[in-house]
Amino acid sequence: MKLVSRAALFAILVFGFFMFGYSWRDLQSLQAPSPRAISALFGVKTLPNASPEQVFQSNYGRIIADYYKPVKPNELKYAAMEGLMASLGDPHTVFLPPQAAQAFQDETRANFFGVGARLSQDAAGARVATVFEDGPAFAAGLRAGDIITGVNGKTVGGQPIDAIVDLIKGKEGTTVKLTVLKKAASKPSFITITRRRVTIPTVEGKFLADSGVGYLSVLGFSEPTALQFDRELKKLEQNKLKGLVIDLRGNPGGLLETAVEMLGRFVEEKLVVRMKFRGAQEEVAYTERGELHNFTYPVTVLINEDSASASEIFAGCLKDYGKATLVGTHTYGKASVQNVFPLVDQSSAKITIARYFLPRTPFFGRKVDEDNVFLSGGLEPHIKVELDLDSDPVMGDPKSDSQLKRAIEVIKQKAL
Amino acid sequence: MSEAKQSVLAATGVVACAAAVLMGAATRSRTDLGGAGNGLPAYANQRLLASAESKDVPAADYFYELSEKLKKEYVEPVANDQKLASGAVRGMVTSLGDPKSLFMGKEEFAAYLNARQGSYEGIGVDIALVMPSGQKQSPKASTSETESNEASAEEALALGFKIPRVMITNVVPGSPAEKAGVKVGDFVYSVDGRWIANTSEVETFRKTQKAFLDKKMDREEYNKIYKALRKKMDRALMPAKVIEKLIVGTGSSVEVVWDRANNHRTTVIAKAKVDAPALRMEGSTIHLPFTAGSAKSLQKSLEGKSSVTFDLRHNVNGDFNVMRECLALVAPSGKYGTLSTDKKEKPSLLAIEKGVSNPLQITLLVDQTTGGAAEIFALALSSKARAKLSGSPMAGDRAIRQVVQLPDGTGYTLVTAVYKPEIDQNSILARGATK
Repeated sequence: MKLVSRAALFAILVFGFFMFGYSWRDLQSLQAPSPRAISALFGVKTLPNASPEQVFQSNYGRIIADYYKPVKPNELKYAAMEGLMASLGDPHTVFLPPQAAQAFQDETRANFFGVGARLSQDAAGARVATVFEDGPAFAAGLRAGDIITGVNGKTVGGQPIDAIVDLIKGKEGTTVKLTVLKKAASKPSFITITRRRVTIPTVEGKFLADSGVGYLSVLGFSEPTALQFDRELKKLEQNKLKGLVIDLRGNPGGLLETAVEMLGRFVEEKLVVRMKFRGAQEEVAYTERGELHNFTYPVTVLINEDSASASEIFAGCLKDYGKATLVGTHTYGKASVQNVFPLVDQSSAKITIARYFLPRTPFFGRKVDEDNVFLSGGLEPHIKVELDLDSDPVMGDPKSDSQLKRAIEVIKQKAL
Repeated sequence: MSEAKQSVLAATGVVACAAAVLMGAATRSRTDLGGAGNGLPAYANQRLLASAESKDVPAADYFYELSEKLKKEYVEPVANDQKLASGAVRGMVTSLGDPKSLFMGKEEFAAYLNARQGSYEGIGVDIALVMPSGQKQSPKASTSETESNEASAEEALALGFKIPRVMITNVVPGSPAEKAGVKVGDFVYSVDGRWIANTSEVETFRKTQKAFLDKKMDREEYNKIYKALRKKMDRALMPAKVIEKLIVGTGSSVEVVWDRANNHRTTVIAKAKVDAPALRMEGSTIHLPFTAGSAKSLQKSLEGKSSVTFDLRHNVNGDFNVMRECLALVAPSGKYGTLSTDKKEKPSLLAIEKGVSNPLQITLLVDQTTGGAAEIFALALSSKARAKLSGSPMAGDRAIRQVVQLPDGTGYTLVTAVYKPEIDQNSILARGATK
């Protein structure tokens, strides 16, 4: 009798260890084994062919074996993963196969090694259109309007602009010698510039003398954007401003912190955005105290369907707190946060992990139909104006840019 | 009990427990793969999202890990994981870029299966996607998902991909489409005011654009054309979606603009159920659809006959296996051509093992609505001089399709081979006549 109970106890013990082994995979990730795994152990068939893995595996095998043309298994696998991610119907949850993942990384880093200038084509070589004040070219004395006629001693007259740019760009820390024809000078001079990492300015300011309105184009929200915004604003305010237009058209967004910092110029200790993660988890962002700027004139913000993400938060908060008039067309409607998870074979998975909500505007996430046609979402402007293509518009030119024109009219009305 | 015995027992116990742990883990590995793999490596040793060495992760592991990642990280709970499997299959099928291998949503697939059995809804037509001649299809173009993975009409066109056109291949007699004057060969130009992405129109625009850039056209004229295209593009439909809109549903109406030889014609068609005629006899003519049960009915109808005419018109989506059974009822044993693939493998034969000993005299009525299994039937018989073809040229579709249904009701067609007749010297085809 004693032996029997001992044996039974022993059997239970061994079974316990067996179950521990069986569940080890789940326990590693601090989870209990799923009911499916347990029932599978006791031979309960969970509906034939019902498991998604099996459905996938059998059809993957079928397509390779039965399709009448040869199929590359790896490409088929990636196509499957793209389809898997797309099945959620969220345009921002995507699978990035190795090549696309690399391109995405490069794009996110978004810096190149150069001298910090924008060039345009000129018969004699390249015309310097803009020199970034933070870049090495500015420090070396290159200025807008200069003509570059030679690079490293070779004349570049008649060469296409892309080829000239390629000659000027190079490894960080190396130097390039430019032959430069300055406006007033009769003889060319030489400027030697050390190439280094260049961050493209994201804010460009322009005083529109005709209307007395300041125009700030914000191209993105990167680290130095807030600083550049303050600097350009200060420059504009050297004039007597009747109003300010902040242009966020085509601004794809960027860093949330930057948008929050910039909003601190408008509102103090105010909620900017509330992020809701999986399972009711929340994160909030508030503007700082003591960063206010005194805007003594009306502010308008230009938006369009290519204004997304941080742009929408920036514009949306100004709208919600009544600090600016929004002019243009509805924005993209991003309203979500993604995380990129790198996978083992250089691919990655970009997954929406949170949605965000503005202080007063109801949720504005973009909705599209199956053909990616816009249904709803995005921020609505106070004043809806389409860009008039007939006028051959140059963005930022109050004569041909119909949306900017309207934004200036709004300022004039408010100023009355 | 002696001490030695006790310690032996204890040691055995420990070993047994350790073995149990390992066995448990091993059983789990087998269970998780259950049926999904043939000797695939266990996930546990090769976590995709951790830092495994191998670059060549098996597809099933990839699928499993990525699904788990989504379930864990995605902002909303992933309610239906069958949807993930269907999504993956959709991705695979559309990546083939084959206008005849099509993934279909639940409702569309159900309608397709019913139509294969002769019971139509929607406007009562069969539809095919047709590539603009000699061009590669966008691997994404035939699908209808969101922007993430599958290019929108605009993207596909911008990338220079050719998008297939939606063409009517059969109009069911007595159907709403027939009443509206729809004809085989008509292209769908727009549905409910939504334009269908169309490669040739975009190419025309590119020429316009060039004329403008070459200063052969003024801006006003150019802008007008650009705006018109822009407007169409904003709400463009992808071809696969068009099929769904035309073949699914009863009771509602659909406005379709048809393109027949570049002439546009607008119709409003009320969707309704319509049945294609089942196997039936009219005099000595047998209308022969290749639907389930056809072979049995055919056997009865042929009793005591020495000659017969088969009407193979309005027959573009017959079942290949039913066709093969029917073929065995009218033709003697032998080879009737090959089912070939583009792969390095020997083509299989379309052969009949137990055919009939006294073949009948057969005449086949065919036209452009004779396609797929019906066309193969006609070619198999006529190429061996077992039948006379009467009518007009056939559809030119000799693909053999597998039809696969997934657990959630979605499904797809997969071309597995293309039929090639073996032409006998004395057959009609050898003399180059299908008239």
